[in-house]
Amino acid sequence: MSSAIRNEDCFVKEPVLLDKPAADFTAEAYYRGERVTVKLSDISNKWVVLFFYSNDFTFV
Amino acid sequence: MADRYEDFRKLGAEVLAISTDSVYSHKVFAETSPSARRVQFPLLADPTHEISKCYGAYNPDTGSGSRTTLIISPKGLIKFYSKYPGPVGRNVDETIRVIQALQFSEATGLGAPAGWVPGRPGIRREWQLVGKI
Repeated sequence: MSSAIRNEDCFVKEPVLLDKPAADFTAEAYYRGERVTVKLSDISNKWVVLFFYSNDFTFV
Repeated sequence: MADRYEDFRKLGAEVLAISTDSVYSHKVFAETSPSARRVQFPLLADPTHEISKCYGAYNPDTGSGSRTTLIISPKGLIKFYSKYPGPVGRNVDETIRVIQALQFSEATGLGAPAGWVPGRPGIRREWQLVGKI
């Protein structure tokens, strides 16, 4: 039986699902002149926007 | 994004910008770049790429994150994921609109139809209405 698409060509290898829990993380950050530690789970009861960008000094 | 931060705060949203650059690079970026100087939200460093990989933002060809945006609800669930092309900047209005639509949907139990903006009616997502919309 021939398949509709070549699995090796697939854009996505594993399903991308929403409504999944966001993995907690800890990271160093620059915040208003200070060097701080940000932990995702410390931000509670708020909507959070994760805004990934490629590089400082380039077009964000 | 920097100019619209207040709009996010009014919605009860926090913004975390993340790149694989070091926190030192972020410091110089925020202090010297005209656009970055206005940023009031945290610039997170992900030099090990772990966070970028985990959130589907990492590009192994460049070692950098890509223009990826996620929205996480107050209960900690990922509600939105998008990836923009390298040469194309994002539209912050749309991110704000999606948060407003998610909040509207949660508050009313209605769906936010295509093109919804605050003030427009929601839509009941019921089996009986299938075929009648």
